[in-house]
Amino acid sequence: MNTKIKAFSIIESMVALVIVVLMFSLSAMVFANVASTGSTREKQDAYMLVKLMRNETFKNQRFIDEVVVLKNITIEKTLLDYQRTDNLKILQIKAIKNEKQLFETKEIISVAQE
Amino acid sequence: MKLKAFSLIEIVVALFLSAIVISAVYSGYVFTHQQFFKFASIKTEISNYYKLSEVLHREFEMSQRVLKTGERRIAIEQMNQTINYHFDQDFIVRAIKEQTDTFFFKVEGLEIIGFNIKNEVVLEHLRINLNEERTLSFTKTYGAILQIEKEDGNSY
Repeated sequence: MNTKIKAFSIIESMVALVIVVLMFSLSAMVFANVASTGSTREKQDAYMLVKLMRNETFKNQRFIDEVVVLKNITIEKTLLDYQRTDNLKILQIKAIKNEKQLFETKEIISVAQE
Repeated sequence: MKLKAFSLIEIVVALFLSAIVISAVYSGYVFTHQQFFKFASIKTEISNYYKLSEVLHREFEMSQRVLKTGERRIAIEQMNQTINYHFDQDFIVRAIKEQTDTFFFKVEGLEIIGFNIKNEVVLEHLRINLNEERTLSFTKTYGAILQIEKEDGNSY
């Protein structure tokens, strides 16, 4: 019996499969990006710890450079010079996790000279 | 006469297969639905946390004085209005006259540090311990007059 069945060739099926896989992987990448750019628990923790560090600095008048690790997040506090004024400094606090900066604050503060 | 039809076995097998497929699809749907609501509730909670933090921070910065008015109450005195906060165990209420806003956070602890001027407690630091080890902290830096009053304990 010599009948010819209407069907797709293996090449056509392979091309279709590759396109479907590509589309899935692209959409997964886009979804992962969108999910990570929004507010996450990690960013909330970073925000909370930076604010806590800022307020504890003011509370204890602790205007020195410090690095603290809390909840696996590294909090870096740096006091930078502000232009040529001795009394004014820039208080910079950064929250870093796995070399990725999660949150940062910068503000000009007045520091009493000893 | 013989009719073209499926046998009983064929129908049972088809039913069995469709039951498996339908249950798999339904459990997938239920799982996705639950995950979506979980995700949405986390996002709402985080957004409320930022809102409360920003509102309190702004009001602290713009205030003339922040007073402790009760065990779990503070009053933020501004130029033209006073904003009252009540930190209940299950929620936080912000009130300006008759207008109120409620933030649904469980307040596990409240740390208020201030100084006395006459019979009033002027607040300098506020730390709110929420559930799941989350905190909100605020600091108020006062001007020179209040600093003198703080040292003297008198009102000028």
